[in-house]
Amino acid sequence: METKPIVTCHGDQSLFSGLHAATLHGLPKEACEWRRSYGRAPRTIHLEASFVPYDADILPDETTKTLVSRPYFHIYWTDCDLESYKQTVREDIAEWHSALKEANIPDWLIVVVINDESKIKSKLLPRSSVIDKVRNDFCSKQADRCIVLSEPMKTDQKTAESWYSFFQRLRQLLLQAFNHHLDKYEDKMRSLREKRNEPGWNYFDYFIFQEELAFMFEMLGLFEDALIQYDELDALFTQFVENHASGDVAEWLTSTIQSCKSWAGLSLYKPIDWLKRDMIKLNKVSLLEFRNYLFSRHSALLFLMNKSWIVAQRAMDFLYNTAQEIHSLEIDIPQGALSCWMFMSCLEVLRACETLPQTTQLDRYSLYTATLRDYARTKLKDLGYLCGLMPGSKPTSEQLSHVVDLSAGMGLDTGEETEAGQVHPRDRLREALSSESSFKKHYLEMCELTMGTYKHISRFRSARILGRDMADFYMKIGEPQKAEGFLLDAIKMYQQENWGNLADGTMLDLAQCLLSMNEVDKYFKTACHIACSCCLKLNDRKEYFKEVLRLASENEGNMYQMRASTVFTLEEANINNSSVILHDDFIVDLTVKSNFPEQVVCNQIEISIIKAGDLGTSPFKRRTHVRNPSLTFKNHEHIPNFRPITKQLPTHIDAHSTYERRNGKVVSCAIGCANAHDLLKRCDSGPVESEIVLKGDYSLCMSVANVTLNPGCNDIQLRVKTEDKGVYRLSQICYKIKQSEFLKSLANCDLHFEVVCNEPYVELKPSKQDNFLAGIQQDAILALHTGSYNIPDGSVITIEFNGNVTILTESGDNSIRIGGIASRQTVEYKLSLYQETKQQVKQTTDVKMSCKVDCWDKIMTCNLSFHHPFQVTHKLHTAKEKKYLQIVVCGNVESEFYLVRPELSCLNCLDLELIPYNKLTQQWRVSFDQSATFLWMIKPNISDLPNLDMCFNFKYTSTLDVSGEQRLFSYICQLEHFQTQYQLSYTVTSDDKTCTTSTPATLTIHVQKAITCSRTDHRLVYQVSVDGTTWALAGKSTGVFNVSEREYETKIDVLPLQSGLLHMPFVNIHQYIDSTDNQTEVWVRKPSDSDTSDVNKPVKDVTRFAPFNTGEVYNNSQCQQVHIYPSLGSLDSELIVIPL
Amino acid sequence: MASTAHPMAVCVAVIAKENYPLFIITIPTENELKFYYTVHTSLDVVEEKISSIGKNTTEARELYLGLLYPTEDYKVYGYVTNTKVKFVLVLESTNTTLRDNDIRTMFKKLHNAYVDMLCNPFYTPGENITSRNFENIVTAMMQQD
Repeated sequence: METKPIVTCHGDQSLFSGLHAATLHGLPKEACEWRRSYGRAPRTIHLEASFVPYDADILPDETTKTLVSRPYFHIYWTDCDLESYKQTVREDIAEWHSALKEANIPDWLIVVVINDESKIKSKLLPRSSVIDKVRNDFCSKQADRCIVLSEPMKTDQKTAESWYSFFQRLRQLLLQAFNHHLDKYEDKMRSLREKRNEPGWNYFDYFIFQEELAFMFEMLGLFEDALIQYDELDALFTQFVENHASGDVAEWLTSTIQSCKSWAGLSLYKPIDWLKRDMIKLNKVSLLEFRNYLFSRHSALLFLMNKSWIVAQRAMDFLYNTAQEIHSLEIDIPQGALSCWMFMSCLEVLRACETLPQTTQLDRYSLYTATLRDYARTKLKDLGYLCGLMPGSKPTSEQLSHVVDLSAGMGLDTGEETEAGQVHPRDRLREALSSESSFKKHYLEMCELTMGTYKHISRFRSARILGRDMADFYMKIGEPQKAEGFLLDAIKMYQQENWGNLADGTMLDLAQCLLSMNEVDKYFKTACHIACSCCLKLNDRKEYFKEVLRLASENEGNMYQMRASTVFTLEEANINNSSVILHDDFIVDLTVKSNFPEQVVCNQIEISIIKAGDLGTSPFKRRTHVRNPSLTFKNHEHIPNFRPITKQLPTHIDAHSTYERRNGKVVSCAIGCANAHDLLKRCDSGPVESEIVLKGDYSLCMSVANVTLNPGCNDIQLRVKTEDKGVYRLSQICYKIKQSEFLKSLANCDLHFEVVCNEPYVELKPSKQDNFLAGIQQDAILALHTGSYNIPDGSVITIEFNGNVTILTESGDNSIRIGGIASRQTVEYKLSLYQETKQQVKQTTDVKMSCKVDCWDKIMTCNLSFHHPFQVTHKLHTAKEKKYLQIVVCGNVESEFYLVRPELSCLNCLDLELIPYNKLTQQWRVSFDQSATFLWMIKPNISDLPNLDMCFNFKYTSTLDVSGEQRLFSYICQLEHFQTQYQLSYTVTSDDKTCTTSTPATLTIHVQKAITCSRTDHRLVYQVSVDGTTWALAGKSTGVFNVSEREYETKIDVLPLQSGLLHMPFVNIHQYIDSTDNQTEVWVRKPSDSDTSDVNKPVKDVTRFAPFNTGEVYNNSQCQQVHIYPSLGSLDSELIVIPL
Repeated sequence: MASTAHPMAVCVAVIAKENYPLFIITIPTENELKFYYTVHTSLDVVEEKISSIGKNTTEARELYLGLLYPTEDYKVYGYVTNTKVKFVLVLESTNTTLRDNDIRTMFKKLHNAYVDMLCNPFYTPGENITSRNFENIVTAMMQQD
């Protein structure tokens, strides 16, 4: 709006015309603050004005309601000198002033222009200038109504100051004038509004009145305030419409709500439609027209404020509300007319927004333009249905005439200037409705554009809804292949966001789409999905279930293969026994949930089995780290609906480490991820998860045929006979219904089992006692465990031992004939064993048994241990020259053995007699607890006996011996150098009768040659050993002597240290060996030499002697004791302990 | 001007943080799917609003999101809890009696009912809401006038 507040100018017109330009441009240069009444926020405005010559006729009177066209302010310009003032000007001003006063106008200003300052300065008298006169004459009370503008045509500082103060004054006074008028106007307006409920009140009159105010604000550049006026008006109107609709009738509305004849769209070409405004004044406007006008005014102001995106934002509300009002007021409007109006209005808003060059706000626009476009599209679709323009239907003649009617109401071509390349919305709509193909073109164009905008502002959900609509359209125009993409996109999104029923609802459309595309395979899968959907209606599901069965039975020679998860879910798989013995059945119990709405017969359910490795090797990955993605403190599957939109990290990641070594040092190490490609794959825009599942290898499988699966859970048992040992994994399950297969990989379920094989083995046990005994024939039981193998009829077991064991089976040899034996059986056979017992060191003899079954290619072994029943020892006793041989038979085992007829004989010498001291006819019992002792005296018949080989025999029987025979046991021993050579005796004597402690005593050693002495070398060594606590030795402990005579005696001084009955110092004699003639010399250290170096090393000061054999020296005094009395002065007390 | 024939709200939905529905109830049940689509589409606007709010977190977040978008027949309002659980309310456009404050009160009620339901130790957050009590409260809220 190009209007500006009007200011009249009077006085010297030629003067003003010279200053007009400066005034016009100077006024808006600086902003001024406008303080307003009623506490409204102050506004900063740039005042502008248009200056017109004064005419008394244009002065408004009190009744004038206009705001915009009224002259607000009146200026009188003069530059006269004092003389002319007095003559003419004063009168002129007075006339002007009185005219204003008459019209009750207080807003005026007298400007006195002084062209030559110097003249005034020269005046000496004050109050004698023109300005003083004017002030005096007209502005005695209002001094601010008069102002001096000095030397306005100059450019110096003073002139600028003068202009400045002039403008300041003018602005201030102008604002005063505005306030003055606006206050009045607003008061009037308010009072008018208060009357709104009185009869005869007309909204449109009020509208025009308040709009004037809005114009005023717009004129002042206060667009916001102007907008507020329109908002108020809008709200008031809306309220009236609401009230009217609910029965509170407003008279003035009746013309508005008369049947609608024109549905011309919104037009934003012109900021204001004066024609419409005049119609409004005349109360001849329809609701649509009024709304159009109101919104166009809104838009115009918003465009001025550079907030055109708000236009787009408000447009939606405007359209909805208007449509709402049309409905609620029950305005008679032809069907489709409103859609036309909306479509055109949408396009007009879009057009207006697009033409404005505000690229920076594009995003903000898009937010609203998207919905506008979408809305326009739906409206066009509605019209398409209404007018029979949708593909697939031919418009009837009625529909055609309806199109004509609608076109007629779209308004006339008012010659609004359309910019180049733009089609007016009305023309566009007409074109779109002109023919079927044109409609299709326009509709698809709009769809694409809307889709693009939605995607641009990331309203993907809205885009998908639109996509569904487009799919629908494409289906209608017979291009299902285009529709498929849209439907798949929508389904994908709904599935990702877990809106199952939306996804499945869309699936119904997809099924139809695929059917018309003749994509049988995909159609089958979709049909399965629908049949199993829990969100869809049962009727739909049953219908598609029939389709599934139909397709499955029709598909000759071809197989549908798909994932089972939608149709059959494996709820549970139980392996009772994960370790199966070879040739046994492996059983798995499944709980399968069928999602089909009706009972279905599975021709076959199979689970493929893969051999994962040999026994003992674990082919299953050890999970090192199990990660729980956030929000999944539980297993996902148990939270219904849980499927995260973004890809979750998998629970395990396969990683392997690599090391690079150089010269044995690690120079680099790395961790690699085996399935990085999968993990890092983009998941949003990649291809849809591969639908293709490959059927695994079913050469080894468990299967069950003809299973009826009811809707819900079904229990099924599958079994397979194991043929080979190893570890197996259940790999894939396949449900087969006619010509379709539903597959599910079981790789993640970690179902596996092992087939183990038990090796056969034998055991040999004694039948009665715990252990085998040597020396008797005993019964034994051979137990054969067949393990996982069986034995055919007529096989033979051959038994062999690696020791001297006699075996007797029932067949009389070492073999057993056996009948057929199944696997995992134990069969026992009786047999008897005998192992000879003989003189030996160990108490047991270990024997290994090998058992061979002729039908198997293997030898089974078993270790046996035979216990020997006897342990025989012998001992030689000597009394002077007499010799005795004692033989002890100890029992080794618990069971009793009976000994009879012991015999001792000498094998190599007959010149002796063996005189038994036992009664040889009796029977001895020998067992663990009982031993038998025998004693013989060896009585030689010659003086010099050689070494003797003695043989001891006895017969024994045992109750355990199955044969019952008496068996012979022999014991052989050798007696060497056993004849007595010397007799040794020694005594301790004292000079007194008795020996006392600490009194020296004499040890007398006496060695006598025995009768049976056969030695020639009689050099001997005696050795006295004392322990140091009882005896102290004075003199050498050893001494070499020669018994060349019959006997030899020597004395050694000893000192008893303790009192009591003491054993005498122990004396022993040895053979003396010449250092030169004997290699087997023995080196003995002197007792004083405590060094522990090697004994065999020849050292000086070493005495060489060798011990005698047992029996060669008879010690007479071995156990003799001597009574030592305590010395009188000592404090020792004697204590004799007499053992009882 | 009470229009007893119209329910207060035609559809109430509780949407999980991940944008899947926890609970949806519609009063005219025959055209259920239409409301599902409406609610789902409204999530576009809800997310827009949440993300724009997220930028200035200085003040306590207003849970009520206001009118999400009007359609010719329905008005859709949104509300988001601090745990990003969304409530969506669909009203008929003809229902002009309800003011912004009434909608706010309804959401508040809904939120309270949701919190009560959530306090049930047998309810796992993220599961579909099957509580009879919650449903009763919601239906009562939708039908009262």
